[in-house]
Amino acid sequence: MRCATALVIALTTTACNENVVSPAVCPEFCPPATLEVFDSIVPASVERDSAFRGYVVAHVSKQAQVAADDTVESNPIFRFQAFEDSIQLGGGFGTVARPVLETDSFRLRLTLSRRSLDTAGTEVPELPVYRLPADIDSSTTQADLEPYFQDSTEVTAIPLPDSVTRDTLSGVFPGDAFPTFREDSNVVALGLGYRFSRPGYADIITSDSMRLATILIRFAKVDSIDGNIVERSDTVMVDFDSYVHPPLPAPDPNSLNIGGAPAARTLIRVNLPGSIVDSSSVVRATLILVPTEPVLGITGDSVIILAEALAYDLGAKSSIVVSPLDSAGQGALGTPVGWTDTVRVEVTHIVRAWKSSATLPHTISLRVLPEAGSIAEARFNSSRSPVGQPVIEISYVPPIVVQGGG
Amino acid sequence: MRKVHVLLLALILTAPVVAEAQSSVYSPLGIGFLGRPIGTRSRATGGGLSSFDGRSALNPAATGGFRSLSITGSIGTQLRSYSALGATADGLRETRAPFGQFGAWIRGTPLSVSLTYYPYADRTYNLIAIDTVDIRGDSVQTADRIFSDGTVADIAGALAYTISSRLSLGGAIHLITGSARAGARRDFAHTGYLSAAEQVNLGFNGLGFSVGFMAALMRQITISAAFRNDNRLETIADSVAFSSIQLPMTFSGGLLLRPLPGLVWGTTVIRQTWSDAAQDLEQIGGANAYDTWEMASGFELGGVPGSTRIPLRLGFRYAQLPFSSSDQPHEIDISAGSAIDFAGDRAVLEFSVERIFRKGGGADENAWYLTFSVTLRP
Repeated sequence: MRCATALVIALTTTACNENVVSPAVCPEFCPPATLEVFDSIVPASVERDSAFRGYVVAHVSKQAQVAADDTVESNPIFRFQAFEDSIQLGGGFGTVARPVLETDSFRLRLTLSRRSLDTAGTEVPELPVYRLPADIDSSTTQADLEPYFQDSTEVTAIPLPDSVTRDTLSGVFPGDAFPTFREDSNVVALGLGYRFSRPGYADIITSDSMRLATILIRFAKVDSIDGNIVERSDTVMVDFDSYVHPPLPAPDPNSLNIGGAPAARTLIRVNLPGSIVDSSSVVRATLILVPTEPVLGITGDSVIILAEALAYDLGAKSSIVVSPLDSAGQGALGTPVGWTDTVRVEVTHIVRAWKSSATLPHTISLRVLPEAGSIAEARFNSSRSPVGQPVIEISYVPPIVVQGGG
Repeated sequence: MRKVHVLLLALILTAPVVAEAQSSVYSPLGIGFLGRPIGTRSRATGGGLSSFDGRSALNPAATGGFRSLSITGSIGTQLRSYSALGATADGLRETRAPFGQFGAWIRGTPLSVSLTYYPYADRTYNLIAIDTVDIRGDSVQTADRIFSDGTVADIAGALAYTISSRLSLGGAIHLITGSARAGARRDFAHTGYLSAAEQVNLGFNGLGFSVGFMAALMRQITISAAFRNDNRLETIADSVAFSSIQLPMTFSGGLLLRPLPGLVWGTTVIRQTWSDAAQDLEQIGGANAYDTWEMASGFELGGVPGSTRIPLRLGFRYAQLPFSSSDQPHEIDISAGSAIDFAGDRAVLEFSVERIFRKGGGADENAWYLTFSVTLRP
């Protein structure tokens, strides 16, 4: 009796342990549910596409590109906060400001985020550092600074060995490298160049991305409290940073532009049948773009094209849906500079989101990552172009007829 | 001891079992794999006693056998394997609640009532298919999953009128209800493709009635017959009418013999007109539907005063299955079981063991089915 009772209890309490997963033998032993994938390039699926420029400008970009090839050059520029005339001495029970008697040297520290790699030879690229006028700002152009990117204003050169791909770089230069340091109210401005026998680039993280990505350290002699001269250092952060480069060739007015600095975005408005977007399960959607010209930029660089959904389509002032659609970079695509072939951008998450939300406009935003982080720019045919208009290739599973009684 | 009984009943009634029937390789076909309106005692005799057993719902006249309040709960565990058209599956198992009943005699009257639950059809399956499809010029491996979890349930309210010790009549209303969550999903091995999935919540509605009688021709011979007619099984998918399937008429008859004291031998034959559903199933792409015959015979030895206290039950059953994509399948069922009365016959613990062989339509399925039930007569 006790055994029977225990058996019933054991059987009852383990009742959830089940396994009914088995191989499907279709159609003989399957319900009449059909799963079939269709794939089609929907003609005239893209309409009223447009491109807008100026979303992010160089001096608020999260990275600055230093680069040089045969046709174009890009130079980051930095203006640092003013150094004080004195340096704080002491510690523990208090500090006291003592005047700086002499500046021995400066150390520039940069943060490298990405670079071109050229491992063909033993030659090492260098980033020459130039002294610039202390009044540089966002209106400064590369033409304005051309006289300063000369050997006579070079204060140091930072080597860029192939072993360094993402790291901190630093270069030291003497205190007398800035003859107008006092007249400039202790403000230092610097520019970077790229020196190598072959085209290349390096991306420097700016203060808009990380406040202490670039700093300048001063090593100075200070009149100590007891009359002795001591060596101390102080640090300033970037007050302004940007990069300058010659303007790219003007785009075709009908082209769809993505990238560059100031950054351009493209809006693709999509007209897909409701039987696909609303009723079917889209398993893959690919936006097919045909370049009007080779992707512009420094040889070896690439543009990362990101496709995102819009919350509202208000033209140039449309707001992007950041999450959860393609924020994970599902639609990000690296396209090398010089690329002339068709570019395929995955937009599956975006198209699927349209099914679940009746309010989302059927518009796709295309931009580069990071915006205005390099001079690279891709230009594509639009729906107004005579050939090579953008289209969407879509793979979908029609509504599944789930067994509902038979 | 009373606390133990209450605990047992509470465990059974609140157990984490799914209130469904046993499933089968045939579950995805037709309206599902049919359940059996019988309790553990009848199961142990193959179903041979089901026409006469008050703790079954085949014949409402059998409800007249109640002489007190009776509450029955049961659980069943199935272990099965099958091979079908080259595919095999082993180690399949599930535990369900195949039968529950509340029965009582209305004191001072010749009337008895019962409220019975059993799964009319099981709608549980989880099928996986691996395949390769050509998309965009590439061969992409896919994994399809077609699943359903739920049941079509029968809740029957029966009233029996015992005219005399030799004759009782009965009638019942059958409320056919239940729900299932069904769907399909396709996953791609290629990371460029997202999964496609769809799921619906199905609701089932139907109504039926049954009538029957049970008559003792002499002390050793009792016969019974019952007729049941169900209307249509309406299926609602996410609040939208999806399908309507004609349910069958059921004719059953039984012969009960008592050749020796303590020996009861019962035979039951059932005919169901499932071909009535064929046209409706064809419209929704379902399987073929065939009329079915079922024959069960078994005996119970002991368990009554003057005999052994613990009865021995054995039975055999042959049944045609109604749904198939090709030829009509059938099942053969060999069963055994027993029961233990305790607490002065106020509680009965019953169990049955069935060995089931199903064959037809290209499949071969074997199963063990274990059923336990507790009946309280407070």
